[in-house]
Amino acid sequence: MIENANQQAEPLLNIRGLSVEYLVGDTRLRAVDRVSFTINKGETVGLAGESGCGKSTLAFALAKLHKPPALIAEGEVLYKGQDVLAFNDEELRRFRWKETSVVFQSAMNCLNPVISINEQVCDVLSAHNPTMNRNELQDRAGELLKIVGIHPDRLNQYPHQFSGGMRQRAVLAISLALKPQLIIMDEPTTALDVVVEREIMDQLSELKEQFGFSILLISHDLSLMGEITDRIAVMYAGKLVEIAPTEDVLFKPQHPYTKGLINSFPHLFGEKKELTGIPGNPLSLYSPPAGCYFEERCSERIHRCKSVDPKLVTLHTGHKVKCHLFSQS
Amino acid sequence: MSSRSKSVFSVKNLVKDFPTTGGIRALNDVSFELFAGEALAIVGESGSGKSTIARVLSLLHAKSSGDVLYKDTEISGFSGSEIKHYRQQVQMIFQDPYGSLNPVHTIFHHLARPLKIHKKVNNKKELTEKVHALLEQVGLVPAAETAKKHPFELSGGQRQRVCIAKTLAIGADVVLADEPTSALDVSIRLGILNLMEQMKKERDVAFMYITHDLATARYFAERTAVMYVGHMVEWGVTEDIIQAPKHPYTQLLISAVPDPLKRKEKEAKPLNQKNKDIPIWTSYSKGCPFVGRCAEVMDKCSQSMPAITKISEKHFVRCFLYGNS
Repeated sequence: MIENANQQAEPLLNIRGLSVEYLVGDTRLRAVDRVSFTINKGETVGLAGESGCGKSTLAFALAKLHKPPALIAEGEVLYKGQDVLAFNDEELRRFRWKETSVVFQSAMNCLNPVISINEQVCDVLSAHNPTMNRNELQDRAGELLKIVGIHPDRLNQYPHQFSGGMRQRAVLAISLALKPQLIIMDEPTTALDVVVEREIMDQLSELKEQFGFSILLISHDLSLMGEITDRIAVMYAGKLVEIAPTEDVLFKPQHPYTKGLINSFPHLFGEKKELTGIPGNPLSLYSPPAGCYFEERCSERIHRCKSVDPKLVTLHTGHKVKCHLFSQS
Repeated sequence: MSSRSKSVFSVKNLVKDFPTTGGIRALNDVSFELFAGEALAIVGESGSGKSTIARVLSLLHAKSSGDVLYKDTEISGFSGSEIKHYRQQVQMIFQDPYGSLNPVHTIFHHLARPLKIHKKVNNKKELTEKVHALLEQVGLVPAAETAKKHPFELSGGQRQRVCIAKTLAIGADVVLADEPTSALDVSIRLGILNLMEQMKKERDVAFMYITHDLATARYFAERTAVMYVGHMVEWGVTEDIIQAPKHPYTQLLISAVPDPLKRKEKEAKPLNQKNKDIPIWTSYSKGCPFVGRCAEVMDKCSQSMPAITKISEKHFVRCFLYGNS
């Protein structure tokens, strides 16, 4: 399931040196800073990091969904070799949803409150498949809801009649509607309870096996990622600080930030210990330091960290880390 | 532990019906106690009635039957001024910190309002000082700067801290926290939990911690009650519930929790459940609500709700698999 699953490792989405900036007054805040990584066909990549580290901004940019004041400062997003960022409106319309769908963080709030769930699902289907008739649409909508564990009887209800979890599931159903090749999921199950989360994740894995799509899973829940991703990328303050196969990240994390993140969440089993999270506050991008962005909160800093920004170095196959502790050797 | 602490809430056989078409019984025969300086986690899936308990306790919904005693007084009989006093003592923190602050008002306004309404300050200067002190207590520094901000300028974790500051403002002794951390980041989540832990320890605040995250329940709450479709199916000391779950539903819940260690055992086991249809409970429904999903269902399960079986001194379950019946 890990690594080997992508025998040829054919890249589906290739992100090269992508930077996204927000224009705030006269300042340009660099929310995503020269991030590069690849998502291969059929691969699930996890993108982890704290609030404000640029995960969601990156997700928006990948589907060219960003709007001013956000702008792409540099870089490319190659989908099957084509630069998504250069797409025109019509190309984008075809690309979005059919090729890549995005499930956003507050997905449960993005349903229209005055339109029934049925209509919202059918709307997507009919927009991209104008030939489907009323009955086909209905059947497919019911099927989709079933996939995510909602009884099709509730198709004609309105979002307010759904619980938060069900709304999130409905949105997930809509994202799966056109069988895209890449699904970008921004915290898809954060607000859901564990059994449903597990069901959706199992369902996703099943669908993935069936249709072979790739997933970019953006989350802060490393244990969830641990179960379904092939590789995990960790971001801090807009920079990619570590990327490695999932097991390496979880059991042999190298970057002090990744270590902190892993030690931040309570476990269900094993010894019960007091956890501190990561001391300090996330970096303010208004005045980025010259050196490593994590220096201030880092417990393993050395004097070089303050002045020199470390480079992303490859430790061994597939394990890259951006930290001075490794750049010397 | 709990035997020495003072009981602040005592809920007995609480029932809550919603008069929708067909009539939904959101809570059925729910009984528990909250103790000062202790947290009770209410764990369950969406729609299991967790939030309804908090809403009944905060008088947002009237109960249908049963007793809800706050410091030995029944809450449903409160007069207007008693309700006002009660609401000072019993505060809620909601799941969505984005929705629980008014976007057009500053943080200062949010914290000043409860102080003014409950007449906790005498003049403007005192008000400003108090607001700043509150912000500092919840770690929102520099306080003067934060106070001027609007909610959209704060992150989710910071907003949740504002909500906690609101409960501190009027000195609540019971906090009904409805999924306070589920919308937040991991490292932020711990900050909020540790802040609540501090309130629990230093101010003897009693917490009802509503969550679906068993790991944080284990971290924060001394006792846990597991809810399923409005019924309490298992309750007791958190550690017992998690390490030795008895009810098939609790076992299902725990097996569903993502755990990176499971990855090492190659394929994680599929969930042990028959189907995933959660029943709609009405006042005419009978039997155990988990019948439809339970892998160990017996004939009698659909006849009546099992009685309470005592597994140990502080561990109870409602399931026919246990006990002498």
